[in-house]
Amino acid sequence: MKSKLFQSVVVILGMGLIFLVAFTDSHETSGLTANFETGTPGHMAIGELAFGPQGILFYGDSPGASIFALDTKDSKRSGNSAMNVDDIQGKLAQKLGAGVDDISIQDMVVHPVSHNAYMSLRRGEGNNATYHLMTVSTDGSINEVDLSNASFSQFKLAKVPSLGETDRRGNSLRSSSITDLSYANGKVFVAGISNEEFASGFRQISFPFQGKEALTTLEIYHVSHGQYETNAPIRTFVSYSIDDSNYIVAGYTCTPLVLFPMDNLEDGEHVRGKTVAELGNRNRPLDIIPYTDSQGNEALMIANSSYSVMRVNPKSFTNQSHLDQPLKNGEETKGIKFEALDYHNVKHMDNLNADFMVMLQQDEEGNLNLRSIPK
Amino acid sequence: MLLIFMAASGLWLYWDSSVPKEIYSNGQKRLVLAVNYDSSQVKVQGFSQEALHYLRERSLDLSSVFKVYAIPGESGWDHSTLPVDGNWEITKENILFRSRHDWLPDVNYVARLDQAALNAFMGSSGSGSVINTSFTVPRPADLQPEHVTDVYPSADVLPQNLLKFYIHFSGPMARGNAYEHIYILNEEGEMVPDAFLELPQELWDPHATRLTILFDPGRIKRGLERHNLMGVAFEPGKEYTLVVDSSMIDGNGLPIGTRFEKSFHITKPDSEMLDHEQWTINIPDAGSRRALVIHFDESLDHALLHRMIDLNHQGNILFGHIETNNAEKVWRFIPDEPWQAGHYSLEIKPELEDLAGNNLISVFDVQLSDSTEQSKSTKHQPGASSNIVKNFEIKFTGKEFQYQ
Repeated sequence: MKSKLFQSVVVILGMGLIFLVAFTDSHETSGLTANFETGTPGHMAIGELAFGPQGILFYGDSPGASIFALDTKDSKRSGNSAMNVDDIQGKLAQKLGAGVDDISIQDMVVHPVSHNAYMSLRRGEGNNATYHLMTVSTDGSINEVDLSNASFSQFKLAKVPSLGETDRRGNSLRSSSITDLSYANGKVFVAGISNEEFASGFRQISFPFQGKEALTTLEIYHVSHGQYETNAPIRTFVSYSIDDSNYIVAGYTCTPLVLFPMDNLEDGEHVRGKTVAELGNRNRPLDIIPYTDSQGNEALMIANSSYSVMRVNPKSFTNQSHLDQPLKNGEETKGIKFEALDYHNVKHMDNLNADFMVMLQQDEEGNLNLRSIPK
Repeated sequence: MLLIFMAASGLWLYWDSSVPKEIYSNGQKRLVLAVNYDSSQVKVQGFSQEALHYLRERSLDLSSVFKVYAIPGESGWDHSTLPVDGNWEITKENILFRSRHDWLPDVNYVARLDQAALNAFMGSSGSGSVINTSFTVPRPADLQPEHVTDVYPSADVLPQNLLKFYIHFSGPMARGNAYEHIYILNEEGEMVPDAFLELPQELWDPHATRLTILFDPGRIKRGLERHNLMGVAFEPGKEYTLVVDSSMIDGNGLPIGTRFEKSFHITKPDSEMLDHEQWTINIPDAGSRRALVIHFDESLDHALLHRMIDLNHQGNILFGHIETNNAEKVWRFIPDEPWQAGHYSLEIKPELEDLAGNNLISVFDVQLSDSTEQSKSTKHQPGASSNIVKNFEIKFTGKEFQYQ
């Protein structure tokens, strides 16, 4: 009898707990996903990725000129273990029934709760190309995200003009390539470049999507080019707070690092950023991520096409004056100091969990491997 | 259970037009792996009805006994190879694997049925072996490689600060290998290094038939003595050649096979805004479907000429066909319907560019704000400037006249 009573209490408490958890979960996500639809997202491609709050994944669809928000429903917490997978591209290809050269990894980000790495990739070519979202867990298991019955929301970036140039099938030829995207403070930030008019606008889209966007043009002083530039496309960027002020920290080709106060990025404005560093010529920054090491020191990590991963201290941005003079003869870098880390050929990276950063790194044989670095 | 297997008849079934690649034969039971290329399926045939019923009733996890692998190039299958994603079904006639995605041509696939595991599940004492079949989906035999059809600008004299080329192909191309196969040669036949602004996203149109190649803006600036450690990409007075080599891969995975070259002569940089006052317009007669023609004083951007000029009549945008010729110095609009007499307007978006990226409101990439760091201004916003409007009248004159 006593035992039965105990069991009943446990069951009632358990049900209450389940109810509480369920209620809390649905309450948290319902506001952000209230206007989501269920079905198959109509994207033409899956490219750049960024996580928002509560496991909502944003992905860029350049040919479809859209940003999609996807409720990943991937809320199972995992521990702080490392993720190391050899030849991840080969393994992704095997899962997708493709040769390793048939797939191309577009981007990689890590889910902030489940710590699964999400990778966007293209499979096949031409009209037969398809785009996929794959997850890699810390145990090395690889799975494709089923988008056939997804909860998602779409934001269309551009209107199709009335007399667009078309191909023989009547399809518009214009597209807007999204070079990077990021989420902060209720907004999705999108850097992009058109394949026709040379304009590289920077967009802010309120989330949940309500059809509103703000377009800003940006101007930078490009140290290695020795001039101001208004149309240079941002290659990669991150939102970051320094002393309670919010900034966009943007990396450009050849490789100025530029700070834009978020408050200045209003619709219709033309904004000049503060160039805080020239990190080296003949280089493309590939990824910037915020980072806190095991000692609690904040940093930004920058992956590069020609150089190893660089570590910079964002606190040094404030005291750095705006760079507006070209490099002198013999100078290769300028501005804030950076530390060159011994991680080469890193294509993408993200914070894996409290203890590790994960990098998609190419080895000497050309294989892409997932490597975790302790913080 | 062995009896159930023994009851499996020696079937030699063929599926559609595909041919079973390998036959397992062991005494009286004979299972067949058959591949269907079109539906990306493999099935195991040769089971008796009883065997299939038994497997279905006991919910055999087929993913553990029947797998398909995409085998990497030379390394072959090993135990670390991951199986292709898909789903399995025990039908009334066979066991079926459906790949989650279509088979790709030229990939070496291997289907493996672990008969030992199957026997164990069936309670059979027979050890069995692995039934293998490998297959490759052929490309359609009649595929023709794509080729370059047009390159714009079509002029053979181009400004030093040329901003882009549009390369048109006869059909969809593969993405991701453009910068390996497209380059610029100088007069000595040497490649001009780092000429292009290489974007990992490659600026294709949505159907991958037109590629936009941008020159690195850092290498095409005007009049700055020390604007770049690498110097300018082009020197005025010299000849260069744009090359699309024959190994560029098309959308069917075929090398295009034909090398394309466009030679051009570089002249002084163009750092002037477009001047629409210099344009002339030929106005057709009412009642005809003759082209309305604009003559520009310089070559303009081919793609933007198809998007940035609209014709308005009584508040409606006219539909018709746009052509360019004479090295994109001429714009022709042929209406779908004959011209009606009345007032028209040409509406030209200020973002229309020349070959160097100068448009109707600014020269390319000029410094806009005057103050120092972190300033903001509202000047020269895309879309913020109003269209250039040119009003004209179409009459039943029977004769074209010139509008200034």
